[in-house]
Amino acid sequence: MPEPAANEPPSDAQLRDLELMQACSRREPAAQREVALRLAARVRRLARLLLREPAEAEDAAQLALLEILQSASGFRRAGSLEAWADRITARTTLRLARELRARRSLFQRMTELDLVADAIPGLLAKPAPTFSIEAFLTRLSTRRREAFVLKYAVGYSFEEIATLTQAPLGTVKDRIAMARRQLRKMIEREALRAEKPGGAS
Amino acid sequence: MSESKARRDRVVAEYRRWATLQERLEDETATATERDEAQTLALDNPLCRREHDLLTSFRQASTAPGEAERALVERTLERLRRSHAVVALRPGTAPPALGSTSARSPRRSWVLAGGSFAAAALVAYFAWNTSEPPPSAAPTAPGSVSRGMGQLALVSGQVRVNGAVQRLPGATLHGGEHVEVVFGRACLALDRGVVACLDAQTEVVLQGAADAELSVVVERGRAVAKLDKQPAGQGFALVGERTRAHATGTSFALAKDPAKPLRVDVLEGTVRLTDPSTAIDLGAGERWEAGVGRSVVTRETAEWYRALLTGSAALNLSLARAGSEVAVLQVESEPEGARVELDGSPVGQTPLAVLVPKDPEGASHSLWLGLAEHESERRSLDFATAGVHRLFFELEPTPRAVAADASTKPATERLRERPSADEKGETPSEDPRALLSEARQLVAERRWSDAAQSYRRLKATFPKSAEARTVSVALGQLELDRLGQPAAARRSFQSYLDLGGGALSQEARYGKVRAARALGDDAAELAAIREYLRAHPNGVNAPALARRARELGAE
Repeated sequence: MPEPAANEPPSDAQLRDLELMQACSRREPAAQREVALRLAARVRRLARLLLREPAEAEDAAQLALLEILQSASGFRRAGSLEAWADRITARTTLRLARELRARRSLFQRMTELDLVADAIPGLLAKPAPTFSIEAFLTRLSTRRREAFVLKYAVGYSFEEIATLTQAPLGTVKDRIAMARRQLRKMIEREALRAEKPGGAS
Repeated sequence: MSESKARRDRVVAEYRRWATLQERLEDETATATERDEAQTLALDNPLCRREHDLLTSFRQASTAPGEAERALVERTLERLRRSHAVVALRPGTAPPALGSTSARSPRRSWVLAGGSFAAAALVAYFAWNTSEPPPSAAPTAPGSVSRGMGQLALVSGQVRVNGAVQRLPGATLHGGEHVEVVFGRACLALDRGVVACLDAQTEVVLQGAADAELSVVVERGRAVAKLDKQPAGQGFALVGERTRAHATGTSFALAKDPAKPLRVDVLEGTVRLTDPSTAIDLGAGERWEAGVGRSVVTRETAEWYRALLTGSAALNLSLARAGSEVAVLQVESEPEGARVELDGSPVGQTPLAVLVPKDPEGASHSLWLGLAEHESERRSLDFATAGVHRLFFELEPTPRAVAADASTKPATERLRERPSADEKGETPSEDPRALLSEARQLVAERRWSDAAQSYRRLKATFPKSAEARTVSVALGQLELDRLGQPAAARRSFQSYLDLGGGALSQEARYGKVRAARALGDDAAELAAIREYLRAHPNGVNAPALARRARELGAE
């Protein structure tokens, strides 16, 4: 995703962030609290977008926030603090997701939503007349969801997503393309319902 | 058919058509006419706009913390405080220093000590020097197995103890426990100064009692051990199948690889091999293979085991003084796999975490990270406090190094050796898609310079192809972000727009802004921002660019 060129002079905001993170790396409680409060909503949202289970997402958010605070010394002024935090959140959450997947039994993996939903059309509950993107995510498979979130919520390139998700580039492109197709189907259905009597306007 | 139904069907049909075109655009196979058609539909069709709005609303944005976020912050800060709490070694385990019983200096300091093994790297470790007499290697009390026979001291990659992933060292190890290295490596600091390091794809089970022989049963993979002189009647063994390799003070390894005979390599000292029918002694530099017999340990094998043990001695510190406090040094990097050196001594590869002694005097240490084709990083740190000292490095690629090193890479050689269509004086026979695919593969391999070369070749060989036009943006991004060539990047972005633009026009215009900033050309940057805002008033970067334009003096 686009970042400022490395050789441009730092802005005041960037310098403030750098000082803040340096204070964090010195374990100054006030700085740690300030950073945590500033990033908490962002970190939590990305973790919840990436993971299906809210409880797991809360764990991931905490791990990510912890990692951000503990890695404060690694923050550089190039790029924003938020983008840096997003990257750590994505990496931490995906690592947790992989660990959780590895722990799950074969049966659990076989009954993951994506496999079942693909095999049994109409299994899932019908969406509301108009839907949010978060509602759409619940209908995506785990891996499509991860790729879609990283592409459209965080704005990563296909290559970056391939690295983060440890998947081949072609696979990542395919996952995102399939997710987009699912999204388009939902948009079409939404439009059809809106036309019907009693549908949303 | 009612008018509304006809209209609805038309909207859906247009939306489907747009979706098809969009996929062709993303696949870079769309014609100029199709691009124009897609742009028109995107503006006119309500479903296209709905999709755009959904995706736009989806982007990450900072918001104020609510109640749930505040609770999350409190939980995190509490956990952070706990992680800084003191990690204390369990008392009663006081092995001598690994590999050396040399006299200790009167001053507490970190020193690199060499053992008697041929290469200093093998025994590179940090000795905990103290004016106090060194702790004796007193036998631990019977029953110590239940309270543990050592600690997990170095973790790099994915390591499991009894199936549970261990991200940090320090876990107490008991007899009967199962340790698996899925990838990376692990080192175990066992009682009585025994250090055992395990290679990737290795599984072992720990066995032993404090007053008898400790052993590591290798179920698969490779383990190397180094131990100090053991008390009489005690010792250490690596076990594979029915073969036990006993030692009372040496360095040796046991390998149990699939489709290969069981092997024992002695690196130093003497090892006694026993199985139900035989007992033989092996000396330094000797190898024994099941069903084969004796041979010699090759230099490469010895070096390989040295590497596996390298840095493991850092853990020795933690055991040097019973009850002493230790810290955990955790080093991660992006990308992973960087070599880590502490005060010039190799420790391992990222990600890794290793026990180190707490140093109340706060002596400064130098941590260095190096990875091929990336800028190395150095950082100073101390271990004045216990707990986890966590460091994360984002290593930047070095374009020059990549370019300088490129000639050694087979793919690059292929690229360079292959004459262009012009050079061959014939019609190009290569498929532009094949060239594009090759370039993308190079990008995936993070070989930026090679990828740029491939993109340029595609543009030169097939200047009129759809691929040539679309790669201009990717090339510009490579030149700007990876190769540090903003002027070239600006030309690449402009060339895309000069050819009529397309689905990537927004990226190209934003690229021009960034390139101008990188060049420090304020006037060009402002002009590029204005161009962007005119063409994409609702673009993703429009608000930030409008702010930047004001900073540059625009009204």
